[in-house]
Amino acid sequence: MSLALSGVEYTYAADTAFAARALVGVDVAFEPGEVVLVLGATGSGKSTLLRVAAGLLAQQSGSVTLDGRPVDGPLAVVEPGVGFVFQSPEMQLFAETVEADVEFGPHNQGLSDDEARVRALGALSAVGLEAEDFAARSPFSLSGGEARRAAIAGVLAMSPGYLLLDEPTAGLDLAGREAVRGIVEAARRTAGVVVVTHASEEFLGIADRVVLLSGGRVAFDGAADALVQNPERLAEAGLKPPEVLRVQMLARDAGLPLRRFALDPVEAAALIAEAREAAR
Amino acid sequence: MKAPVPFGQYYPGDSPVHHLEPRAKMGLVAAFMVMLFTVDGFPGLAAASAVAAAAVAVSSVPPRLVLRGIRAVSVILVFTLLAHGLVWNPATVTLVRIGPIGLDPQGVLTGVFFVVRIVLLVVGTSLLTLTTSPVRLADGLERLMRPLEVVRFPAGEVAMMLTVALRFIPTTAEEAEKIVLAQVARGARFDTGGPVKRARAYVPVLVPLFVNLFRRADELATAMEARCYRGGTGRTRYTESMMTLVDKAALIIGASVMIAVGMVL
Repeated sequence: MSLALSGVEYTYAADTAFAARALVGVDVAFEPGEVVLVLGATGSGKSTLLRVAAGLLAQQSGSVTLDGRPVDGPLAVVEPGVGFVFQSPEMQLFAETVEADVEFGPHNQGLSDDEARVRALGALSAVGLEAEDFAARSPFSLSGGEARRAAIAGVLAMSPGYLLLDEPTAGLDLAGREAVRGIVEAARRTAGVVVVTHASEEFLGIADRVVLLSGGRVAFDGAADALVQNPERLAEAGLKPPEVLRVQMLARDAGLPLRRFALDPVEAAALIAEAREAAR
Repeated sequence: MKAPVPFGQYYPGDSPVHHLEPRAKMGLVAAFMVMLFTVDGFPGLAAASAVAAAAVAVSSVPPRLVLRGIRAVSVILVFTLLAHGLVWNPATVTLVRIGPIGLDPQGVLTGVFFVVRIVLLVVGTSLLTLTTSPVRLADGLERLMRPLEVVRFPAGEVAMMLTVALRFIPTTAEEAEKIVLAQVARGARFDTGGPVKRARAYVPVLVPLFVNLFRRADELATAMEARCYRGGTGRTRYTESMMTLVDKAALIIGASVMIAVGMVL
């Protein structure tokens, strides 16, 4: 049971002067119930990886399989569905009411009006938009964070087996980012979740696994904690490690014998204090 | 997959065609059109084709990019060919005859003549936009329209509108593509059903596209005002496009030759 990419290659504008290789021999698999973080610098192929995994782009070589079956075309309405939350998904809102917009996906799956309504209300509740306050509102009257959550609800309402999110917190304020993080954490109960992001510090703490892309290739694929213990890998891939890790890296470079690195600032402070004691 | 360079979008290059002053280039394209509409036989079209092929070769723009524009007018081309070639209840000899409809050889020839003329028209205008950046194109148009300011024609504003419109064509196309993909990811289908169903299927794309366009236009207007934009009057350009001797010679000689050939052939 997995959404698996094997030897996937993708080049934009292939065979032209503008050819740009986005994915080079990518092997990666996403399992139900896990949160996978896909990290990489701009242009490293993160968004392309998600689009190929969702069947929205056809790879030029290699294969994509969903629970063992080869993927051919968009995976929104197949079982188990692959939901895709695009970057700035609020720009896809179009219906007269939030509820009608969230029901769009379930209707396309062939569900009845009643079933679609049940799904829509459940999804709105899951993203923290209570139906009595938001269902009848125009999606164009929502704030940025609310619109983002409504758009995510539109994908969750389709009950995807795998949920792919492209930069889900981009452009949101602190409250909005925390709300989206909560949605991702909750979604793992029913789906395999893949998050592409620049903001590693927001999701490293809840991720089971990290896939690090560099120049379209997988530079690292392993447990999130393994990356936390080797934050230099982030710098090698052109990324800035989270501030809390940078402080610990500087402390270690200054000669403090840190046992390990921690993402939680309180734990990090305790580890630094412990190392200082040990150094005396 | 997304096209690397949308139809008509600038293709950067360092060729003599790229370096030609936009007004000279527009003048030459206008002369090429005059040539196309004055020739009345295949020798004339052959000469026009040679001119177009030479220009494309010198421009170093891949021919398939130049020809991509033909796809946009393919329906018109097919209609033109059929309108000339098909005859009802033909009395004379036909190439093919299905029931009362026949394919007239002379009509097909006339149809081919008009099809080639349209194709060359598309090639000529495509080459202009492919080898001239939107800013230089708008600059050239503004300079061409400047004499009309005497009769209070807002040449500067029109040029600014053209620059902004041209600038946002690729952005809008990219955004439309993204919204289509986002709706496909929610199970939308755009390739099933009859024409009405297909048209209705685009509502989830067009509504957010227009909402975003209006929002962006509003933000752009505010951003321009914040940078003291007060209309085109008195504005100068960072780089003024000047007609050199080479540009003038290319325009005069090229236009004269094309128009003369058009009148003779």
